[in-house]
Amino acid sequence: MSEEMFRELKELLGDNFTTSTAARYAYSSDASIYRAMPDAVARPMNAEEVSKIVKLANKYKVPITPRGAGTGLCGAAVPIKGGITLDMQAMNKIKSITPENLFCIVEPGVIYDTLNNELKKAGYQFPGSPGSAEAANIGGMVALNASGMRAIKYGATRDYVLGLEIVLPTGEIMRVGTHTLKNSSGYQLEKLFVGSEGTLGVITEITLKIVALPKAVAASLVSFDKVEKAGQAISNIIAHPIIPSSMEIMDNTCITAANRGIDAGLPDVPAILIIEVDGPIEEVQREIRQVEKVCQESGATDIIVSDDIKVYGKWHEARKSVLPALGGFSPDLKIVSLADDMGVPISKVAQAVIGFKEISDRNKVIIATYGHASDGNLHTKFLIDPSNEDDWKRAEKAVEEIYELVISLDGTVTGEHGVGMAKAPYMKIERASALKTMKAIKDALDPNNIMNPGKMFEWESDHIIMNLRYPTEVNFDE
Amino acid sequence: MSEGKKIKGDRLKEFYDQTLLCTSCGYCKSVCPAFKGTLWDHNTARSKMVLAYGLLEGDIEVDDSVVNSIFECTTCGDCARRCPSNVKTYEVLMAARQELAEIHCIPENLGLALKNVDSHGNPQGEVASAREEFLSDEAKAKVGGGGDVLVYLGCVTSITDMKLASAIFKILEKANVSYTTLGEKEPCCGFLNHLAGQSSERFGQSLLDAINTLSPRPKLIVTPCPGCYRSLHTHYPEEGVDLNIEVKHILEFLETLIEKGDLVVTKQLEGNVLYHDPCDLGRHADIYEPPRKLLGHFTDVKEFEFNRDKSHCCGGGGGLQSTNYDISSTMSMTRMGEAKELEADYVVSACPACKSMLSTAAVDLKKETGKKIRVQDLVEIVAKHTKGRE
Repeated sequence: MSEEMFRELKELLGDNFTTSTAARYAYSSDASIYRAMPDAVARPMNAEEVSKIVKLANKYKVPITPRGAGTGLCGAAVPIKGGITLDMQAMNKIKSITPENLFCIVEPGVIYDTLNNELKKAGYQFPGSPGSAEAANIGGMVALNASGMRAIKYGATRDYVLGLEIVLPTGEIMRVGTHTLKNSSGYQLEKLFVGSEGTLGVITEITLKIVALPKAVAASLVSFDKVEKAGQAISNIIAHPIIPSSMEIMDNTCITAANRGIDAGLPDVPAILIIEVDGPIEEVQREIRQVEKVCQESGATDIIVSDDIKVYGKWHEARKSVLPALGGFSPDLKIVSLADDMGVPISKVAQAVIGFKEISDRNKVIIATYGHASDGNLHTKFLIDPSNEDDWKRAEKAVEEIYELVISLDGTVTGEHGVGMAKAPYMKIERASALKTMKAIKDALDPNNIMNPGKMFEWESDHIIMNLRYPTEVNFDE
Repeated sequence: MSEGKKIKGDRLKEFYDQTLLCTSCGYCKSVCPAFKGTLWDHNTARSKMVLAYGLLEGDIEVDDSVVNSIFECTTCGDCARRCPSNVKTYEVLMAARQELAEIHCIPENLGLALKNVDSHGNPQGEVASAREEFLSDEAKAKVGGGGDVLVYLGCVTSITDMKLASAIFKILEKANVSYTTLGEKEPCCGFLNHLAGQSSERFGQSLLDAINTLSPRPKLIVTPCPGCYRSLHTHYPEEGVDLNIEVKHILEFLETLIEKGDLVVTKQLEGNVLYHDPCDLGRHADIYEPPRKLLGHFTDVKEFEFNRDKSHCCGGGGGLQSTNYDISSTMSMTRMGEAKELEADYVVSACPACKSMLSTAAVDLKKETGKKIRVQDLVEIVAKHTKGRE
């Protein structure tokens, strides 16, 4: 970054612009495996400031990497080409909540739980339910098309974005979408920016559809002595037909980690399902009994049913804790985020989970599997010694095999966490026929390629184990 | 000031594994008051784990920004409670502070307070005689004498919070307790030094020497300050100083006086009374129920939404008042805002630092909203609303 640009940014942002060691190093990583230092961190307070920053970056051809809470798992917020990290957390106003219009308008730095606490007062919700709900920013969720356990019934973030204010890579402020629940007015560009991972512009305002809170909720904790039976139960419930509000699967590795990490008290069995239904009271009572019956017929060994939020809330908390709690699974091994959110057709969940176990055994890497079984979105987490080069190599081999399997099952390499760097080579395989069009869109909007460069289809390597935030350099040239 | 220095690493490397255990999930951000007060990521617990890793690996060198980031924390410990990976965030942070202290990298304002401790024996920089200025005649007569109970006031209580000091002695007099105190001979406990990453062993030794002049030797030490309590109860033994006397927070002792009938409750408090858990007494010392039991003699104790191990910090801990008062005061205002939401008439705590921070915030709250909330130490309530055995 030139001295002139530095001076201009300092003049514009004052203390909200820093090149300090502490800030640059703290902002060099997120919850992914990667580290790369930005040259500076800028914290805008409004769209006009974002516009001025972007115009400067475009003028000086300096990369910009937008960042929300930094809870992403694929490195989308890691500035792999340096430049400016744009911290959007201070733009955190809930501008309006209008239940009569069924939408709210928020700035990107609003935290998911904060928004839902406010919506709850009006009897409404934005039901994405990401695992990192207490920290994740709405802007980050939009940028990655994030979702969570309730996508089977309520969909993902893209389904809720009615409109956006975007600062384009040239610095222009553009409004896309509408304040109506539907529109057929030209290209629906608001949908294009959802999942664009900061490569096409900076999101500065979001109009989100909201839905009413359910009148009642009930849940079941179901044990199985075989993963296959859990998979069969998932298919049987959907085919019944019952559309639960969530249906989470956890394998024994995850169960053990949650029990150790937060004393979750889950049954020590090969697999569990946590199945939640919501809606009108009578419907919930009927559906939870149907879920129980289908699970029994599918070979469940134990079923606990509860409509007490203190009870099922603890099951959900256990499920949400899996990712970080896996970190304490073994004193010698650490959790690393790899192949973390692939999706398969619902009927192929069991096949995928069994396949992952075989890949785990074959490559001698502990792989924990859990996820949103009801919409086919599975999570795997790897437990390795992050200071061991060979562990990383075996892990990457396993990642490749997992994605080969997922693609062969007609699935996707990412259901809700995005591509970033961790899935870039595999997305290029999955979306081979669309890459040229993606590149054309990027070139048209960002002629100087300043917005989060080097990610997604711009990833240049066949490998993903590089620029690690761990104490190892992995050499693939041997 | 600190530019280009490198840590030695001896203390921090013990926790290297913890820096790898942190998944950077960000759950700590949802409870971290330093982050909420600034919205900068480098003030979160996870970033402190990242910085600790960077210092150990030599990725970064020490400079003012690193020092400030490591010290912009109240050490409230809520991050460790929330961490689902059970990362020892507090221990890593303290080890990082020890590394910085070893190479003389301490924020300027905190350094000034520590100089006062060295030169005057207290962080405020007051002369030693100030410790006796507000003692009652009865209490002055007990200074340096023999007694079953040694009252260790601590620097804040004896020099700054005269109301609390006089409340303590008023209670002990009417309950007819055999007590003594050290007056101007009372050494600082060294808690601030501990928070700054320095050893508190010499302070323990000074207190031991002072105690050894008392005859007969006291059987119990009581203190109204959770920081002093942690020093005397936990840190001195860890650093090899054995006072060889039981140490209690004073409210634990006051409860025994009521149980024995040496103190009789005379009046109930009117209004909504919330108890605020001090971080150093709650999360760090696991003392949650005794204050509630004691306060329960005077009122039907109401709770903050975030209470006990989930209590929110008042902003007064960790030396943050010295290093960044703006963040501290944001925290205290947040806590008093929570009290206002619950329509509190009183916020009662058991820590002079909490009382100081929350009292200041209460004044601001009244100016801003018109809502008056009284902030008091539990000891003051006991002093005002009890009488001795008849």
